[in-house]
Parts: sequence; structure tokens; C-alpha cells
Amino acid sequence: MGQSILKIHKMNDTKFAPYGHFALNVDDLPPMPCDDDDYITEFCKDFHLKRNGEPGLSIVIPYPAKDISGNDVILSALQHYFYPILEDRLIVDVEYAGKTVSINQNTILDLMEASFPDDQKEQAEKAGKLCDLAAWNITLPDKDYVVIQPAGADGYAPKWKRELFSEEQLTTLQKKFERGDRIAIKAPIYFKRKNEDKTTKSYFNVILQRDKNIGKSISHFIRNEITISGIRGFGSRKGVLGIVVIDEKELSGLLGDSENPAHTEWQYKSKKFQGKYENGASILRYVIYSLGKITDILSKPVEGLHKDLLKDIFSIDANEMDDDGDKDSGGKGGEPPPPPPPPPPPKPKYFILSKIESGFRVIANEDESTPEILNIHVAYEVRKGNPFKKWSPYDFDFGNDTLKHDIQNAELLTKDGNHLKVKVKTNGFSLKVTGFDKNRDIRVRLTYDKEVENA
Amino acid sequence: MLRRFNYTGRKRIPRQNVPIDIIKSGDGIYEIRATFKFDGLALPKSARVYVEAYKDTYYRRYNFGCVENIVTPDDLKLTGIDDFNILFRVKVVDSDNEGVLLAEANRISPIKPGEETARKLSLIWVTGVDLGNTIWRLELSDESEWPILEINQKIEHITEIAQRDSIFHCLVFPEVIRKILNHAIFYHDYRSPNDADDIWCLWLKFISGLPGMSFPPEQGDEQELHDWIEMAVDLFGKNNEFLRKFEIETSFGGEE
Repeated sequence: MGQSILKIHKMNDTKFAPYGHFALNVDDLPPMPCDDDDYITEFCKDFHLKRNGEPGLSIVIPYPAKDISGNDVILSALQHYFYPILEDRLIVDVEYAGKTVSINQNTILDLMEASFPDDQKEQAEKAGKLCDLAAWNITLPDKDYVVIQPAGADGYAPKWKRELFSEEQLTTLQKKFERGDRIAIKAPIYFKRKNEDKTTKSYFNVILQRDKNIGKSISHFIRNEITISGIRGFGSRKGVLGIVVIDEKELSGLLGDSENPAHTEWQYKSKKFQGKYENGASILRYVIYSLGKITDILSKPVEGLHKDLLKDIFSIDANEMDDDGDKDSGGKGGEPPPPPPPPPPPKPKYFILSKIESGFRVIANEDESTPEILNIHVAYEVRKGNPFKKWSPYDFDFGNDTLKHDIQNAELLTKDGNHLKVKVKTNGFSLKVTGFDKNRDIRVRLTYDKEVENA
Repeated sequence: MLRRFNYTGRKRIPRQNVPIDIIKSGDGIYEIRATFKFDGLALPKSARVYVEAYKDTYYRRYNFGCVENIVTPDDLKLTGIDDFNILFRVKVVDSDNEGVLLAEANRISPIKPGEETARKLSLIWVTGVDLGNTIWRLELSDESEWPILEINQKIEHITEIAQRDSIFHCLVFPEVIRKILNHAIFYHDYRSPNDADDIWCLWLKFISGLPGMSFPPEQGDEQELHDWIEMAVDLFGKNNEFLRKFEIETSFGGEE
């Protein structure tokens, strides 16, 4: 029955889980598909299904939202499936109000113009331009794609850089991009599944066109004919149309592993994806950021980044970078600094946090009246970014008892993910947590509230 | 309270103990020269010593032998680099237990040809991009190594304006500092320049070094941290006389 997971939804003020099954419920078994021929025949008759033994997928929506009109369905098909329709790999027939509208390769451009309501003419114009760009790409011979250097060939995480383009390619593409000509780039990429020696070579296609009149840029990602509608490829860059097409089987499979059930995003934390590929998150970023990064490479002048422009205002002496308490680095050179105001009185240290073998220990500072509720967040250190935001259940999980803890004079209220919540009973409080990977640094954050919380 | 625990006992090499020069060789190609002082770090004599040059996606590694016997490699060329905005790191790696990092120094700024001492390290980069109808924007993504001030390249002489114009400085820089400190404190959770070895901690060091400033309150609540940031913004403006400069630049001459 596949992954038929929708959103949590409401009907008559009752909330329903996202999992929908039209299935047999037998004892404690999971929902099972029905294989009773009579029942299936009756079902097809009741819901006017035309498919008769042919392979495929039929979806019955017994209670469609009343505010969705036939034209809305046409618009949605045009916006999300224009690419396979233009390729003549998909035909959509919409039956409503006693008529049938067929969206196919021959009718799509006219329908694009006619179906948008009057107050959405701007969207119609943008959709039409994107459609034109897609139609150009579909008929483009393979030899006309600019093939850039493969990313990830050296085993490192793939990353966009100017060196992926030859000087000749850059010169030509920059000129074309500036003129507003259409550009088609084939981006090869190497990747590897974990625990496999074999390296897989794949590619994806990036289609770009600068159009200064469109304002906000428009991006469109298509994997195996499916539009991945939740990805924005340009960030805040303006005036560019872009399409990314992934139809090569291997890369499409990798991205599919990261796709959410609604097929709207590629998520590196997806259960089917995480831990499966070497540099998996970087590969996703390489594809997702391709439009923006190529736009930067093609539109920025060669000497675009000025690293020392504001050095006289915002800089630090390289020799002082290691001096922890030095106070000379921020002032303006030459002038003696005015005497600093007296520092505010230090806040009391309620807890003492220290390192022990494969973990840490928190004890109450007996000189202070200890707060009652203590929150402890832990994460493995990362080279870039906030480690607490990058924590994953695959690192460790307090909830599954892989780590050991020993608590004295306190009650453990919560142990979930990377968070422990403790109600401290007396000043003899002590908590030891061990079992972390000794080859990695950890970051520990303690937060507390003097007020008693309702746990 | 925030603590980072280093379980492998990795040591930090003071940058001034591993200065790196860039020189021009006889055939016009730039090369590196490195000297090492590992006194007081108690590193094993057999530990391997590497220097890595890096800039964006550029990367070169040079093998300098071991702690006891530094051997300068034959090839010290910096091929493929067309400017000196490159950084270096020095790594000392256990020779017995392969891959274990015993000590390192990160973000070493080289001494360029013609310089006698290490240059100042700029804490923000600037780039011209098409920002539509916006004048400037600050890029603080994880993807970027450094904070980048984006300025609208459609404006004539915008680079010179960003560098020298007092009104631009008075209006833009306080917000730049506010955004960067918010990012360092609330996104990265840093409270001290020693929390990590990255650009955001260098910013905390830079700001904490302003006359009258201290480190962010380690155990401060959100409001106290916001207050600290506002104090930093205000002091930066005071030290740079933004108020006076702005009044002078915007006064209408002859109307007194």
C-alpha cells in the first residue's frame, strides 16, 4: 500500500492521524489489502473507476474539499506537471461541469494562458516563461549541454566552485547569462553508499535564464517527473528562471531516499537517507543550491569578494587571536582606551560542570541556594554551526538507555533525545552521565530557573 | 552555562608559534615557508606534522616530517592561488594511532611578500551582488566561512561608499554588529571567545576587546544577553563617533 501518509487533518472538529488506509482490519494484523473480486468490482462500479485490470494507480477521493474547483485542478496540474506533459509522457484529463479538459503537449500552452484568473496574470506570465524554458530544454540535443567537471570525484564532499567550469566555459556562459540567453548545464557527480567500495557516477541538468523583469526568481525541481514543490533554489536572488531536472536513475534514487512522503522536500534527516551515503547531506545541498550557486558564479565579477575592504574597521591582529583575555584588539589603534566601567557583580554559580571519563558530571555548588529545575542539553561538537541544532538520534539518545547516568538527591523528570530535565532535591545533588564517544568532543549546556516549575 | 569537553586531549598550538610566510620563488611562483615551535606541548617526538592551506574549496597539504625531525618538503608551491586571502592550519598527528589529532592551530593568517609581520585578519568580507532595490544585506549562513556584507552592485561606486562613506558606516555597521552578535550568541550558543576556534568566537573577542566591554554574561538569561549586545553596539558607535559624524555629514551648511 506504500507510504500513504498525508497531513494530520480535522473533520467535524475531530483530529485524525495522517495515516489513511482503505484496507481489511483483521485481529492484530496491520491493515491488509482486499483481494475479494466481488468487493473490488462493486467498489469500481460505485466510484466509476475506468481502469479494468490494467497496471497503474487509481485514487478515489470520496470527500474532496468543496472549495476546490475543476479549474483549480487544471491549474495545479499545469504548475506541477508541465514538464512531463511537455515531454509527452503524461496526459491529464480533468472532467468537471459536464466537460473534459485534456492537458497534453499540444494544449498546455493555451491552457496556461487561459486558466489563470484575472487577478493572477503575473503568476500566469511567470508560469508561461518557465514553460517556454522547459520546452526549449526538452528539445535541446544532448551535445548542446555544457558539461562541467564532476563534483565529488576526489572523494571529498561536493561543493560548487568556479573551478568546476573551464575558463572558456565561464567566459561563454557569463556572456550568455548576462544577455538573457538560455543556458543548459550538465552537472556530473560522484557519490558512494556507505559500506560499499563502488563509486557511482551520475549527473543532473540545470537550466537557467536571466530575466530582469520577473522580480523574484523562480525555481523548479523535477525528480523522475515529480515536481518537488517545497524547494526554493535561488534564496533571495532576483531575476532568474531555473529548472533542475534529475532523471538519471542513481541520483534520482538517492534523492528519492531523502524525499518526504508528500514529495515536497529533500531532507537529509529522512530515515531512509541518513547514514546511507558518504557525504549525503552535502550531495543534497549540491543539488538544492545548484541554481543559486551557478547564478553567483555566472553573475559575479571575478574579483567579487573583497576580503580586506573593511579591515581597518573590523579586524583582529593575527598574533592576538590566541590571547584569551586580551583587551587591546578591538579599539582603534594608537589611542589609549578610556578606563572601563566597573564590571557588574558576577552571577552566582549554582552548579559545577566537569569532565569525567567518556562523559560529564554536574554537582550543586554548596555555597549557593540551588535552583530546583535544571535542564541539560548535550550534543557532539561540530566544525560549523550550532551542535545542539545538528544533534541527531543517531548520535545518542537519552531515551533509549545507551548512555549511563547516576543521579543523587534529585529526580529525573525527563530523559528524551539530547535533553535531561532534573528536579534538584538538596544541595548534595550530583549527576554523572557516561558512555559518549571518546573520539568526539561534546558540548553541554545547563539552563535553570529559580522558580519551581510544574513538571 | 556552556562547556565543551575535549575527550581526545587534543592540544591547541598558539598561532604565533607556527608563523607561515608566503614568498615568491625565483620562477615567479608563490611558495610557503613555515617554522614550528612546539615547546611546552609535550608532543611525542615521532608525531607527524602537516601544514594545510585552505581557501573556500582550495586545499593543499604539505608533509613536514615529524616533531623531532622537521623535514621541509620539496614542493611548497601554492599553485592555483591568485591572491593571499588564504588561511593555514597546522596539524600534529599521532604516528602510532593513525588519524588521532594530537594538536592543531587553525586559521593562521600568512605573512605576505613585503610584509614584516602577520597582517590583521579581517572579520567580515564584502561582495557586490544584485540586491534589487535593497542597499545591503548580511549573509550569515552555515555555508559561508565568514560573515559577508553584500552590497548592491547596481549602485555606482558602492565599494568605495562601503569602505569610506561615514553615513553608510553610521547607518549600516551598528546593525551589522547586532546581527553578527545575535548569530554568535543565539544561533551558535557561544558565550566566550574560547568556546570554539571559528570566526564567531573571533567576533566575540573583537567586541569583548572594545574599551569598556566584557565577555557576554555566561549565565545570563536572554534579556541580559540582548542587553550585552546592545551595549556592544552602542560602545562601537561611541568609539567610532558615529553620532557626531552623522550630524556633521547631514547638517545643512549656512543655515545657522
